[in-house]
Amino acid sequence: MKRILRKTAAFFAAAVLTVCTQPFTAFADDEDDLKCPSSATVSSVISLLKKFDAYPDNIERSNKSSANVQLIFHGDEILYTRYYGCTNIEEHTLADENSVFEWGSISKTFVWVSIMQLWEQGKVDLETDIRTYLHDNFFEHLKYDDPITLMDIMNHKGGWCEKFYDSTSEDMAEMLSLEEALKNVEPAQTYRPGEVSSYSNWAAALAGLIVQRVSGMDYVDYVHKNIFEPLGMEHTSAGPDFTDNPWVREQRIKTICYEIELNNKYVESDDGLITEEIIEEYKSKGNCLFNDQIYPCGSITGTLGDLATYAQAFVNDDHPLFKNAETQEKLLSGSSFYGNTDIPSFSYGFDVKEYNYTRTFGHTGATFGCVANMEFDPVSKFGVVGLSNCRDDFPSSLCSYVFGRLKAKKYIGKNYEKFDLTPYSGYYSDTRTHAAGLGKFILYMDAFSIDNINAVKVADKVFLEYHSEDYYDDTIFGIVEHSDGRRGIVNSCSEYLEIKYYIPKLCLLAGFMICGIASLFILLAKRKLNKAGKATPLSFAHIITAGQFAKIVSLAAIISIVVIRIKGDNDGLTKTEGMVIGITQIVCMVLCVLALLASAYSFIAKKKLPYGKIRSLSCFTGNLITVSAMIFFEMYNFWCC
Amino acid sequence: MKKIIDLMRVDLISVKGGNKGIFFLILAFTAIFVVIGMLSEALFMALSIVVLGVLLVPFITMAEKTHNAGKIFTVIPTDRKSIVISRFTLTTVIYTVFSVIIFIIFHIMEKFSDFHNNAISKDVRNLYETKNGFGTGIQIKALENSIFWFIFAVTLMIMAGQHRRYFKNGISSKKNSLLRSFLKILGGIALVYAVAAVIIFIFNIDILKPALIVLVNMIFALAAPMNGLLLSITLIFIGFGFTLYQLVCSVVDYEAREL
Repeated sequence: MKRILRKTAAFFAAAVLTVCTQPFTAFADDEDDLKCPSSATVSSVISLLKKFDAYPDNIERSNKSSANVQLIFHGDEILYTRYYGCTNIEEHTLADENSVFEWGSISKTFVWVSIMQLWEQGKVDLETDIRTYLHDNFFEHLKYDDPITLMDIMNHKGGWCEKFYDSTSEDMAEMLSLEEALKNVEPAQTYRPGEVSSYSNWAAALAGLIVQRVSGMDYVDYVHKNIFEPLGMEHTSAGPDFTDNPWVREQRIKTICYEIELNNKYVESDDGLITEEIIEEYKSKGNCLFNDQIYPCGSITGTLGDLATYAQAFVNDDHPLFKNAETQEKLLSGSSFYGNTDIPSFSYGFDVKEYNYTRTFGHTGATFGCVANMEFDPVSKFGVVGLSNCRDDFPSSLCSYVFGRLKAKKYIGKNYEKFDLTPYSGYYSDTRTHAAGLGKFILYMDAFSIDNINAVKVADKVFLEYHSEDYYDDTIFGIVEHSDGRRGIVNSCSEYLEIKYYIPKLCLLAGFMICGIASLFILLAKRKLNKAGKATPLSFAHIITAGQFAKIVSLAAIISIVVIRIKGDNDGLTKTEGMVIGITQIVCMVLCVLALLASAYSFIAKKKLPYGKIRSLSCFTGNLITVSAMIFFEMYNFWCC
Repeated sequence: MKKIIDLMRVDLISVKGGNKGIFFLILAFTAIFVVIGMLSEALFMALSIVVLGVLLVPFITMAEKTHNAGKIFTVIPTDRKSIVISRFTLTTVIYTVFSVIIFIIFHIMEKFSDFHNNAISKDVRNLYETKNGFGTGIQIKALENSIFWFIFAVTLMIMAGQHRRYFKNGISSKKNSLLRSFLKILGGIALVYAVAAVIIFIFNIDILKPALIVLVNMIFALAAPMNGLLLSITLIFIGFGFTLYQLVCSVVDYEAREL
């Protein structure tokens, strides 16, 4: 199996490199032959892909793998379609044109298109405060009074990080309305609106609610009427429970989702040699239906053909989704840029990706069981779409054939210069990570230094992260400076924000953990001394002991947050789980404060005890560190996170 | 304090009359690992502190077995608590000083050795270089430092455990106690594996995996800044914390023991 995988991977990699590294002339057998943005001719790419599809090992593997379906188009013409793998491996159901997959975050582009449609009708203004379109007092956790505009939300600059609480619903019949669901899991606003890019599913769904309120139609109905119907997308559903399209529901239930597990196995070869090999095995996850109550952020489900139809609309000069050509042009003209360049980092909710010779727009998507990709180049009119029912198998392999790659040597030229990141040295963390409430400590666990990153200069404050290995594409980043003096490193709508005084803060977190572990040792030692009748307790010994128990419980509580999140595929905690953990932390904090006061009293009391002063002082320090960490990392705050 | 220093001197004097073979065994093993570290992967030097740590306690108490030197503590005018503290202090200081020296050599070798950077370190380095970039916090140097101090802390905990066993039960009268202590450590490791296997079998790995990921996340977060200094301090604290706990328990056990 490993050999098969190796051969296939080698063949595939060689094919990509062959196509993408050859000069124009290598494929230019026919001067009139259509060329992809990668410089390769369409006929050579398709011929290569067909050879790859006909590879015997590949055909054999297709019957045992999860589905990975991809399509290349040029304008309104479909150039190549590849249905590979199974939608149900156990029943050997091969993927075909009727297979449906969840499109995940590509659904957000439907919200952005809807917003732009309403904008061209004059029903919404992209620069007006969104509170104009919502009920009074809709927001409960706003930190800043600054207006939040639709433009901010489209650029993921509303100031919200990712929601902390789970918004999925097991029983879709009992699901809340979109407005109630949004209010129920409103995240803390952690950044000033319009400044920091912080990808937010919640904010995208909020924009869906605005579409609903401004248009006066249910969001699902709006999408059907204004997007699906004009494009003829009959095999796509927008509702969270697929009630808007029973055919899609029926097809979606047939699709099983998978994850890849790597297992070591001993395999005997023909000559009797036993070798250890790593085997990829597809583990079924069941249907894995997307059941998020804030559905506009990821509920669209449909076929590959319909995804292609949708993507083709953006390269169509007849602008079928908009009344005016200017609206489509504006949508794909870039809404935020790298430094002072004209290279867009993001475009009205659409991801922008740089290649050596072209620039694509689109979006990626991932739900609990499916992954999706949509990329198109409005200039050359080429596009690639892909869907898969395995989260570990992202369907974007054809993009490099069509669009090429991003490598510094080609993008900037051979005489590229190094970009000095020393002035920006420090620790950075992804802004999508929680920065308030119960999960705030996670931000400090995810931070990283940029000191060891190889960077080459593109422009002032714009650089490429450079990989010497040919296999990896380089990535473009821009540096931004915010009003509070913090710096951020931006790629598309992702931003890595500098954490000021990271080391002291991390020391506080480490101190909190050490205090929890030390308390365990102290309690064990106390038990031993008590049994031997040699304990010489400090004043208010019971309170101090309770404080030591509290430190251990508090440490266990923060660990449980991460455990619950990882176990649930990062869906978040339920409100009840959050409340239990938050109240536990409050009780622990009260006990630690009492223990802090008790140890302070012991220190100043005149009672003579063996090592009394040292014990009181260490107890005081431990409680002080724990309480400080609990307050700084907001471990108690379960209501606004 | 003077009393404790005097008791440490007593221990050092009794060591001189002990078995020279063990001394040379420690020396030989230490030298072998240091040389291997110099010639190949510097991190191998950390094994020399394991050898010293594991053999140090049996080595110091060896004279008691060969020359009945333990009796000396029953006649000298001192309390048992001081004996325990002095023994713990002596071994911990020797071990810590030796570890610091090895750590310094380890860093010098990292910088200057032409032989360094052989197959093992190259593989590890390649792995980290290819994964280097945004979102990957830990660097190879931080990882190496953290591994060194992790080994230090675990060995310190083993030493503290050996001390406690000694103060609770006295020195083993059986022959080959050194070999037995080695086998016990191996047995302990096997037991941990067996218990882990049973837990995984009963509770299903899916439940344990998130807990393990959390632990690894936390370790990596602490290991990333300042070349692993923060994680190293945490590990050293845990090692000394456990030693302190074993010291308290040893005092209680030793005072309760009939000599």
